[in-house]
Amino acid sequence: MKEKPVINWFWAGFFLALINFIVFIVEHRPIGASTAFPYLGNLLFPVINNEYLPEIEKAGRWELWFLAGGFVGAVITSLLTRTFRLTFTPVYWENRLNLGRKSRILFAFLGGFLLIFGARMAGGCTSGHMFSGGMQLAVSSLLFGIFAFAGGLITANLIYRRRYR
Amino acid sequence: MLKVFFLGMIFGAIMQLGFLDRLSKVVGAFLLKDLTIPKALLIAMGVGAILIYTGEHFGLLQFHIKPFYPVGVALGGLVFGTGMVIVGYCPGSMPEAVGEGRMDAFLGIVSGVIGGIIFTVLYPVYHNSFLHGPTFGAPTLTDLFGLEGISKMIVGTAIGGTFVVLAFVIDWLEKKYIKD
Repeated sequence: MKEKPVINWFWAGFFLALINFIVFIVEHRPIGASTAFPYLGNLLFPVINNEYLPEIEKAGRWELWFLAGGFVGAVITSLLTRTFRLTFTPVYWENRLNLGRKSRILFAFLGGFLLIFGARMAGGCTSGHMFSGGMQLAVSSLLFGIFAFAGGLITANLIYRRRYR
Repeated sequence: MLKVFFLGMIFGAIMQLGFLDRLSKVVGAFLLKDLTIPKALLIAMGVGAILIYTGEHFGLLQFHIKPFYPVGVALGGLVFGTGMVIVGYCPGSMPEAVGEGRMDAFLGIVSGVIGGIIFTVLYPVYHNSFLHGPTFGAPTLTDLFGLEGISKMIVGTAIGGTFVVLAFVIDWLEKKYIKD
């Protein structure tokens, strides 16, 4: 069975558009997420001769606060709707993909690294490129969306397809 | 920054309530089994385009377009898409996933931060390499057509409307052809 969300895809997308529109007006910038990760990394482990930090400092601080809010927002709604579950291995991972805890640790670690490294190569992620860039019809972001989707389709078919049940 | 934190809370609430922060929805999308995320993204882009192009025309806001360097953007996109399928989350959905108790996403955040540090170290080399390639300004689709003023707004909102219609077409196809 597919997990049925509390609000469906239409209203989720609609409210995301609305909140980004508000962010454009009151914050004079779009929603973004991936810059928070190198920013946090640079706070924890300062890199010498750093050319990157000055370029991302302002955006990184903004996105880190934004994502901290995102975390708290999700805690509140998941508790209110009783969808909070303290788990390490998602049920889907075990039941549908037939994979275990060790592979979840390995995949989460490898995937998280590629996710942020790729996003920083391209200058954005699902939020900054596909969502905020896509709604402005930015050429760069639409190109990113096509290649990210292609990369995901190829990888999913290579590693998950034959295990899926 | 309290205002940003509050805006983030609303964002996180929407992501969590729509289950857009779940591994099953990310992997399901790329296996073409559960198209919740692609549909929500198309609605967000479509409704967003209508709001942004109208708002810009009436002077409410300004565009913020990312630079177009096709080689780096395409390669980064491929690496990013691969990473997303493997980790099962997006950068903007990992904090929400942790918020609803999915601790594997916390590992994703830790390795993402490590990825960010290593990218910082490699940035001076990458930025000037063939992997990044040349930058061709920061155009939008409407710039490519050379549109300005009212025609820019009309075409922008029309493309936005097309995205919305496309989401409903995909929903219809999903119900018709995709068996879970």
